[in-house]
Amino acid sequence: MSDREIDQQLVARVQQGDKRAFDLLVVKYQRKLARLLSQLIRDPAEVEDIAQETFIKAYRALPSFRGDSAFYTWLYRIGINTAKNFLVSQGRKVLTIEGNFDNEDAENFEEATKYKEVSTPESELMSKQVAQTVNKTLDSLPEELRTAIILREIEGLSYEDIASMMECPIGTVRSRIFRAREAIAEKLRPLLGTSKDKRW
Amino acid sequence: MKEKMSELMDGELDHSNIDTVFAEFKKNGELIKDWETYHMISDAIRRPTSFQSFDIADRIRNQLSHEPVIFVPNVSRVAKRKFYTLSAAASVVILVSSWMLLQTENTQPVITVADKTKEKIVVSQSPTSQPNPQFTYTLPPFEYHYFHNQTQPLARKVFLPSGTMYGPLTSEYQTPEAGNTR
Repeated sequence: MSDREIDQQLVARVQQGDKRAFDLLVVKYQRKLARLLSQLIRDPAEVEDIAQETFIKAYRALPSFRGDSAFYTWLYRIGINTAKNFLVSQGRKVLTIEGNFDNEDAENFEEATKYKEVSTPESELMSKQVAQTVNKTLDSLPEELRTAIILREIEGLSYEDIASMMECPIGTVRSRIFRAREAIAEKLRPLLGTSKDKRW
Repeated sequence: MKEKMSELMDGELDHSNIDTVFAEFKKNGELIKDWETYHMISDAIRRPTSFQSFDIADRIRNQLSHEPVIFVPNVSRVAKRKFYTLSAAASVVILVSSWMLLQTENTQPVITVADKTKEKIVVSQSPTSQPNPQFTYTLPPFEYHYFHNQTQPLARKVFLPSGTMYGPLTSEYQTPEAGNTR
């Protein structure tokens, strides 16, 4: 099941009345969408507003989403249009995105553009802390866990390929990736205020 | 369950487990937080120097609570494609059958009409009307309507080229004699 298929599953569930499934899509794509919008809008508060509006528009338009394109490609277009309309309504100049603005392959958008930060001092501090915690925990993981998650997250390999490279059963790969994530998440939870005692 | 969620995130979850995981998402709010954390970790690993903390999920959740629930009738693309394929196939069958029927009528000197018993009859035509001395006929399928005891045919219609029509016959609804129908 590809990433696109997962999204399609989630979309199908939203279309059958499951709002929670849309929540999963929001969580999955909010940062990616924010990075996209920050190419057009510099004010972090405005980026948040436009991102929120984009998701709500997408939710309302989901009944007409037929899955001809990937969900993110579709969301990307809604986001760009919402941002442009916002800037026009404000009488502001519409900035162009470096790289391929109308590129159909929105999945590769980030690689094609120079990243512009969208952050307040607080969120910048938070971002740094999260990044440091993740990297530090990653470095401290047992080698087999670290290798498994790096091959998955950075190289984008399938479990089968990772199993082949690491010469272990696929079930072991599943377990190693999960244990790596869980180990990092455990270190992050106090920072995010989501420890077992204090969840959001 | 978290391990299954981790597999789902990577697109490696077995199809048979998808419903279980989604059901768990529905009833367990904690699992969504873990989904969020795992995605954050994924982002931070992929962009160690440019990771951005950005969370508007709660805001959207609040706003979505005022939005109506979406319900789109579940007509899958596969089902639609199957419907169109069957329709096309049926159309082709009808066209081919019609064409074959026309061909048969235009080219065959012998008119064959199906009989229930597949028996064929020979009707002699007037030698003055056609040079062709004989035509072979097979009777059309009979429709039998039975009495209450279901032993006697209620009605029977037989069309012959001569224009004679049999049945319903009498109040007793007797079948035409074999000689008439042959």
